[in-house]
Amino acid sequence: VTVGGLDVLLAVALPAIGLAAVVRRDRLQGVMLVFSLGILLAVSWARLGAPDIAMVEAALGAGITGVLFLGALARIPAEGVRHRRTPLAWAGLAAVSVAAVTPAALAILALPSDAEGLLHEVMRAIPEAGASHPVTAVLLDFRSYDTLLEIGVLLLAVLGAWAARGAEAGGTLRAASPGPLLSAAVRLLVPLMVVVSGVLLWLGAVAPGGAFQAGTVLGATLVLVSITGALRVPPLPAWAARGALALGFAVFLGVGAGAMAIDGEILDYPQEYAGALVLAIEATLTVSIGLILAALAGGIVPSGGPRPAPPEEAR
Amino acid sequence: VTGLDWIALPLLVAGAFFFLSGTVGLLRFPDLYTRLHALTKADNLGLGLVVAGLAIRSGSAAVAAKLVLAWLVALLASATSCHLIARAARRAGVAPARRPR
Repeated sequence: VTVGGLDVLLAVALPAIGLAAVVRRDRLQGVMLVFSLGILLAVSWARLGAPDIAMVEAALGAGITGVLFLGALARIPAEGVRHRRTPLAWAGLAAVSVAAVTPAALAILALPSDAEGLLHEVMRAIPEAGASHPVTAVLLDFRSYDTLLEIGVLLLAVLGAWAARGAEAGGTLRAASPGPLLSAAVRLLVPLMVVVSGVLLWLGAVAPGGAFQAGTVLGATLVLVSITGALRVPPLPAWAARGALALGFAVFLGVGAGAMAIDGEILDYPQEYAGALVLAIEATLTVSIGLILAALAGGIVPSGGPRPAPPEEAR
Repeated sequence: VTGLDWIALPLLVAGAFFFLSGTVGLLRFPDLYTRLHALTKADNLGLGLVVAGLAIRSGSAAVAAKLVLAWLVALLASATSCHLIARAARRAGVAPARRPR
């Protein structure tokens, strides 16, 4: 393992930015620091040779999480009273941080430094998998049960977000006055982003990419569209929107149950159809993950609920 | 080191120089509008030069085309976000800095 100047810079910058994000009094500055932290984390994952995670971290950690934070920032009342943290609070914060980090650090130090992990076993089994890229094979075939449950958790998160937001009737991201420049840029970007999403989905079988990355790009596209209102999308009927949200989970579960009916093992795909089944699951997952992320960010509101308030005047 | 590297190297160094000047501008300029100017203009030029240098070094037309596409998207995104930040600041009443007398 060679450590370059960039790695040293990352190792110094990451904790410094993380600390700054916590201790900054200004909430907006804190959110911006979390944005920067996400970008630098993505670079770190890339340096560690994990481009799949780097892509997800950049899109989710920096992108969607940032949108969620900014949305929350817009909803909570402005800071009237500046809270001063007492020395006791600082000591408590430090104690919690040390208590959280120490076991993780010890666990990392306890790892054998020359371990190859499960890479060899994965590569040995990969001819039987539905994808030749190891990360996709693990996510959609070897450990597909975990992935299935993750999608279930995402769906539950949307239900929770809708339930929590319903009362205040907020939820749309529509900007008061997006302006001609943003609308034009979004019109240019949307087709490109849809193509990129499709390419990522298709590449996932053989290279870094797949449903999560493709879905995130699709989700970001939907968020951009709903901020600007640049594209006039006919509103989907409620059953169609809800169906599309749940589609990925439903197809995943259906394939798993079907495999169980044939083979007796849940999610144990018949080998000759494994590639096609994984692609079908990934394609529907991409659509659902995109919609779920957009719904979490507030880009999609459930129809039939309270109407969103009209946009406020331009600031 | 090939002949092409001698073309790429000055481009990369020039790109790094513009990134550095953009950062100095961000830290030293007096108000939001001039800082935006430093950040978007200088960094976009720097990125273009770095992309040109890397495209030459890549030796592949497909990689070069992808790099140029990435630069064009970055241009679009940064021009748009620069405009949005400046417009929001002007509407919020952020005054440009005045020359000290």
